[in-house]
Amino acid sequence: MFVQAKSGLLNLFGALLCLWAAAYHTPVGALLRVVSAKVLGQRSSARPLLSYYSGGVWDVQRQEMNIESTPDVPDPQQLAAVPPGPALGRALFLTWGKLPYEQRRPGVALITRYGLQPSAFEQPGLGPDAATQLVDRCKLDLGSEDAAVLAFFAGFDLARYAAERTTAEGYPLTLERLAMRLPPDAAPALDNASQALLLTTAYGLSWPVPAGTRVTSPFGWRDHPLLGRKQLHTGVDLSVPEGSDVHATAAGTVTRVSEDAMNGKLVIIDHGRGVTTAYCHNSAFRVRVGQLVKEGDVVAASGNTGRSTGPHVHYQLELGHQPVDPLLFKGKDTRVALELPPPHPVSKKKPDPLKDAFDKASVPGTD
Amino acid sequence: MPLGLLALVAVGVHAAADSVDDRLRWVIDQLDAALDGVFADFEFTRAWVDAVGSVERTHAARGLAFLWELAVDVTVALPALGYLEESERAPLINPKWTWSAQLLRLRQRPTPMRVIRPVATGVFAVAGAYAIARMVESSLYLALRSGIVPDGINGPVARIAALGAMVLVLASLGWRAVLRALQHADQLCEERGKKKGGALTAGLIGSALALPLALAAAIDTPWWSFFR
Repeated sequence: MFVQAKSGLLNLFGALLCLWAAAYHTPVGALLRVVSAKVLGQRSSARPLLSYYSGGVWDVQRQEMNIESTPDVPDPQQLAAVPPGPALGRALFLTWGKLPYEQRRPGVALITRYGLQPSAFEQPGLGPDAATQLVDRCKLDLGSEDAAVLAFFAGFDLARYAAERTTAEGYPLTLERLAMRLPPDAAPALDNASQALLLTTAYGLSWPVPAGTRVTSPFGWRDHPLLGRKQLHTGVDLSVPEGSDVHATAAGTVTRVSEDAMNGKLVIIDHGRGVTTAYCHNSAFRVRVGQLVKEGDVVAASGNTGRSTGPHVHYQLELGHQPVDPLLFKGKDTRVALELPPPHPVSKKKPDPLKDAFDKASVPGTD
Repeated sequence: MPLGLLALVAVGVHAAADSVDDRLRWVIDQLDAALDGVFADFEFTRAWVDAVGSVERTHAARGLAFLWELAVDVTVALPALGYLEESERAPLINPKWTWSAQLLRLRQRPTPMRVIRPVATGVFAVAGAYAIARMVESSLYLALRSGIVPDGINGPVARIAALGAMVLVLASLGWRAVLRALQHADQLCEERGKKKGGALTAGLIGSALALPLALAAAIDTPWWSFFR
């Protein structure tokens, strides 16, 4: 009788563990938590349904369902205000600067642990270099840059624990893998670490064509030269002669090599950490799908294929699946000449749509 | 108990689905590339090329993984709700449905469903137990850090507790989930077996959906890490 009761209790405990894990680990559990929170009039801590498939990384984990799963990319003004310095340092400086006081505690503890001055992290002239120095030292103890950045936002002990367990599993110490070893309440620290690493990769990008290449159409809303209507231009157009080498702006894996009547010959490279770059309107491919490329490798020869008004490279950068202005991440050594076609003169005459379309279409090197 | 079985298998199914969404994303990327080539050729479909961007492709991959997970939940995890202990079942059913009779039929008349469902459920149960143990370990580690046990001990304590949780879950629920899957498969095959070839095609779609996920779960569950 006693043995039966004890075994029944263990079975019950096992079942409760399973229910707890299902509630916090699965999208169906999240759905049920949201419904029950709505019924009880409480706030749910469930993440958006589809973010249960990203390992909780490279997506915002805001505390409400039905929020679009979008990356937490800072606005362009913030990005442009970051002082020069190493890519990692700039990314940490920017992410750290946005944190409320209570979320800075693990970072301050880490700075103190390595004998650095927290005040250095507040100064634009010193911050990026100090942050780089800190992560470089921490990396030696934890085994990877991702683990060191996680330590900056989640604390050294927790990052070390995650790194040890991930190593025991035989996986590389990437943030995706480390995240799987963190408890659910580490989500805010994970958010900050993923943003910092995403920006590190983005700030480390070089430029696909020679420095000083003319930008014929910048990122942003514009009157489309061929369609004649407002459209978001999701990259920058770089005017280069047909056949010029187009270089990978960072190491990565080629995920797409295709051709269509809009983008022409197109190459997409996944650089990891939620960063992808695309190179459109090429005349020839130099890579194939699945190929690993290094920074500076030639991926295509530029051209005028697809919907294009002249030879150019349409260079597109996406952070966490959202297109952002590549000029914000143009690399510290690259000089980019922003030379736009002159605006159309304001005419008092009655507009002629056919003539306007013809004029716009004649601007060379745009799409 | 049936709810616990359902939850255990569902956690394992999710762990598997979580590991296939990247592969789905790759397939969708290639499909999108091929479709863009066609859509861009016609004026009225040209707008569709720009309509599907990186966000949409990612959502599509994760959405497909979610639907796949739901489908396997329905076909493999949900039948666990029908679980009854042997003592509870005895007065309700005839001797034809005892565990030993079912195992005998599996050996004598194997069908895809009789073979795949219990194996897949077993893999999901191990993957689920591992995911649960990992959650126990990280939560306990974090809780013990606040000075309850000396630094340096909290890690091993959390790991031992996690290993204990995994063993407990598998010992109390894992084998029951497998037996229930066999029972469900056996019943369905017996019912469908009255028609010619019915037993062979019974539950084929569910099994076909579950098998790749089970394979992914088997590859992506390093349960031995607790010993390292």
